[in-house]
Amino acid sequence: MHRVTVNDMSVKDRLDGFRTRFAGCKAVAFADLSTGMVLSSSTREKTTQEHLDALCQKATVSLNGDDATRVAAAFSTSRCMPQTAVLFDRTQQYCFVRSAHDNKEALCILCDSDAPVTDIMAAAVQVLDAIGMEV
Amino acid sequence: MPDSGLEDATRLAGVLAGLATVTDDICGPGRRISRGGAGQVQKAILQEIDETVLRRQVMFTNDRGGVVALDVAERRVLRVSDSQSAGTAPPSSLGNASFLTGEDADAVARTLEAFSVSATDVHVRTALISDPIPAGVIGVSSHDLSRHLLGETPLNAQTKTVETAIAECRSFAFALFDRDGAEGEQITGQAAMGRELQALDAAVTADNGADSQADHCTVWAGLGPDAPVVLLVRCQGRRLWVACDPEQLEACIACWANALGSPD
Repeated sequence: MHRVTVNDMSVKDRLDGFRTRFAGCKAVAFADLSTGMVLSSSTREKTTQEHLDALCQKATVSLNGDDATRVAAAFSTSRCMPQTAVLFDRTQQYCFVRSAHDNKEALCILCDSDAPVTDIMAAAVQVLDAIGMEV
Repeated sequence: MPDSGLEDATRLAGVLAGLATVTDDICGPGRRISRGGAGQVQKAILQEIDETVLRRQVMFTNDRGGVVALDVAERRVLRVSDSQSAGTAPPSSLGNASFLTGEDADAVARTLEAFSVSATDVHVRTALISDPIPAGVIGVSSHDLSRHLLGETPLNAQTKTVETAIAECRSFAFALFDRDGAEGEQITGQAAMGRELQALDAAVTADNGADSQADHCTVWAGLGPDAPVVLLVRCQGRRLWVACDPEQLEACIACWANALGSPD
């Protein structure tokens, strides 16, 4: 929490920059998966904390949940949990990218169904790296 | 005060202001969501459902004495009660209403249509429901209701695209496990990888809550060098697992998004 308070504008700026780079990006949140807390966020339209919390919860389940653990046990070649997860339904996509600097932190992204997932995930890794380097 | 502190203070003030006007009061006059017109009323109702994440009782009233009470969570209608079907008195609670399945979408849509016809001055009142959603309850998604109420993609249009997506996936997937295929369980592609997917399916988390039951796909990636990406597709009661090259991720998502009825 202390780090985010100190660098909050920087993190927020990075999230704003990330979101505006992708037209289909509705919301992006920097979250602590261990506490389920959204540390900073940027949204295309005004949204509620309820929605951001739900976004963070989806990230926690997708990256750290039972199914993710089983998939990692079966297929991981580096004995690590999934670094990214994508969840999509009829109308939208969620991209969750774990920080390489702190595996409790992740970027949680909500975007349109036709948004370029691989580009978004690559950009998310860069944002997380930049945030991690600021520590 | 530092800028970040000022931002937090502004946000807190906004939250407090919102709390002051919140309508979590099932006895209050409620918030007007539409002044009339069946299409507008239906859209307003759908918007309320679509914006409800935490489980709430959402009660709609109109100027003609019509009342519809919904049990909504994660943008899905779990139960419904209305003054017409309940008999005389408007529903004050959903205690006796039975839980819905995806097949009830048409019935729920008809209830909302009946409520909306000729209605003006539609208000909504909400109240949090603290009880957990019973295991296995699916409900009706706001998207399915949209299709029924606003004439979007027909339900049966999906069946072909699921089979098409499987066929497309087989062309590039390392392995695919189809638990509920027409011929029973099927493994295609590399046998060893297919058996890993089959084992995953056998151990998959028991479905809990509405969200896990909705048609959707989860993809896990970043499992290490030379590791595949793994997809779990839940669609029309079917469960499919796919392992593919990370470079095929976009293609795989595209074919399954189509199967799930993505608007594009």
